[in-house]
Amino acid sequence: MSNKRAAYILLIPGLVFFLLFVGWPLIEVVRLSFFKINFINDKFVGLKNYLKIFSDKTFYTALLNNVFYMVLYTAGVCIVSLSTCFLVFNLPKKWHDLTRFVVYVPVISSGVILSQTWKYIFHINGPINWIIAKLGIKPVAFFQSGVTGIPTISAILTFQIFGIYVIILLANMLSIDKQIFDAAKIDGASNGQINRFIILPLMKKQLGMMILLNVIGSFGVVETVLLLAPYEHTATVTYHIYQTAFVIGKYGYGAAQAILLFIFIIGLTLVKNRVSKEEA
Amino acid sequence: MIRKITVLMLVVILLLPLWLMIIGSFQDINGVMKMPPDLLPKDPTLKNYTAILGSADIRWFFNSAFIVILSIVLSVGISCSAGYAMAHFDFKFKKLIWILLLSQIMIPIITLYIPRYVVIKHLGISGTIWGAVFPCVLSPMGIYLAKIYFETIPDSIMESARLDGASEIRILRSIVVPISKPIITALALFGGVGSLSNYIWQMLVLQKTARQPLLVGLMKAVNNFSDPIMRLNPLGRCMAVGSFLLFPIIIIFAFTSRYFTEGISGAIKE
Repeated sequence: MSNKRAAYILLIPGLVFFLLFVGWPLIEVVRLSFFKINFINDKFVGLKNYLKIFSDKTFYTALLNNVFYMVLYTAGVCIVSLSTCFLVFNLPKKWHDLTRFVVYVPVISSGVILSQTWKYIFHINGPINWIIAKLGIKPVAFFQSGVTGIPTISAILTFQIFGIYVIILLANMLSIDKQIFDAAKIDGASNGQINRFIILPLMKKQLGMMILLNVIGSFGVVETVLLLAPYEHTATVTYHIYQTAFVIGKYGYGAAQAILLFIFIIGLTLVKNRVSKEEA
Repeated sequence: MIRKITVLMLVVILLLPLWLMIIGSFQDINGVMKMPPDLLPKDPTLKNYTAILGSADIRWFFNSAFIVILSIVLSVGISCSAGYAMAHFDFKFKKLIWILLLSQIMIPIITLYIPRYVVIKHLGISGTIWGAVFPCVLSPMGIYLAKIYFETIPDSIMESARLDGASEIRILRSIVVPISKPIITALALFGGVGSLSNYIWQMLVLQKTARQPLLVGLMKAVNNFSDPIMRLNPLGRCMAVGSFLLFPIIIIFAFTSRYFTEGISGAIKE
C-alpha cells in the first residue's frame, strides 16, 4: 500500500462526517434562509427573511445584550485564566497538577449540571443573597433584569470555561526556556516584570487566539441562558436564533439570522488575522 | 506562602458550588432553604433521588450508555485517524483539508443545528439515537490535539519499521497506539463527557420518551412544575438531577485525569 493511499483512507471518516454534518448544513442553511419552511412545501420568499431582521426589535435587544456578554465574558476568562497561571507558575510541580485538576472540574461538569446549582446559589433566598443581606443590601433577583442578569451569567460562564485556558496557557508558559528567566533575574527583574515583559509577549499568539475564541464563544451562549434566564432581557443572539427556529418554528428566518452571524464572525476573524500579521 | 494559600482558596471556590449541590440534593425543603447552608447535611434524606428516579424510565439508562459508547468510539476513531494522517503523511490539498476539518471551531454550534436538523431528516435518522450522535462526533479540538500529539512520535521509528516491511496497519497497531494511551484517554474523556452533556441537540432530536437519554428525560421531568412531586422541593430535586448526572463524569475524570493532562500538556509542550 502506498503512503498516499494510506493517508486518504485515514482521512475518509473525518471527511465523511465533515461533509455530512458541517459542509452540507452550511449549504443548506443558505438555502433555508431564502425560504419559508414548514417541511411540507417550502415557499421561496427571496430576501424577505433578511429584510425582516431589520425591523425585529428583539433581535436588536439580543445583539446589544451580546455586546455586553462579549466584553464581560472575554475579559473575565482572559483575566481569571492568566492570573491563575501567573499564580501557580513559580510553584512546584505538585501545585500545577492540583490546579490543572481542580480548574478542569467545572469544565468537565458541563453547563447543564452546574446550572442546577446556580439556580440555588443565585436564588432569591439563596447563599449569595444571604451574604448580600448580611452586608445590609436588599436581596436581588439576579436573572430578572438585564443589568444584574448579564454580568451574573458572564461570571457563571467564566467560571465554567476558564479551566481549559489555564491548562493550555500553563502548558505554554512551562515550555518557555528557563534560561530566559534566570538571565532576567540576574539582571534584577522582579516576578511582575518577568510576567509583563517576558511571558506575555512570548504568548501573544495564544492570547490572540484565546480572545478570538472567547468573542465567538460569547455569541454561542445558549444553554446557560435557556436553563437559568430564558428572557428577552438576557437573550444572546444565538438564543434568539434558537427561539426563532426551534420554539416558534420559523426555520427560514432563524437561518437568515445565522447567516448574518456567520458573516460577522468571518469579518472578526479577518480583522484579527490582519492585526496579528501587522504586528508580526 | 501567600501564593499557596491563594491557590487553596481558588480550589475551595471552584469546588464549593458542586459541593453545595451535592449537599443540597440530600436535603428536604427546610434544609435547602436554611441560611447559611450546612456544609455537611444534618439529617440527610434520599427523597429527592427517589422522586427523580421514580419519574425515570429504565430505557433512559440504556439510551445514555449507548450514546456515550457510540460517541466515544466514533470521536476517538475520527480524531485519531485524521490527526495521524495530518501528522505523518504528505498529500495533495493537505492544508485545505486541515482548514476544513477545523472550520467548525469558528461557528457557534447552535447556528448549525437548524440546517443539521433538516439534514438528518433527509438522511432518515431524525428522532433516532443515530441522529443525536452522528452530527456531534467530529471534534476539531480532538483532531487538533491528536495531530500535535502524534507529531511527537519521530518519523524515523516508523521509517525503520517500514524498511523492515511492516504495513501501515501494523505500524499503527504496534508502535503508534501503545505510546498514544494518554491522548486516546483524553479524547475518549472529551467524547464521552461531551455526549453526556450535549443537552440542546439531544433534546431537539430525541422527542420520544422511549428514546431519550437520562440527561434529557430527567431535565424534562424536573422542569415540569405541574408535577406535585417535583413542586414539593424544586431546588432539591434540581440539585439531585445535577448530582446524579455529575456522578459518572467525576468517576471517569478521577480515573483518567492523569492521562488527560499528560495528553494535552504533552501535546502542547512539544
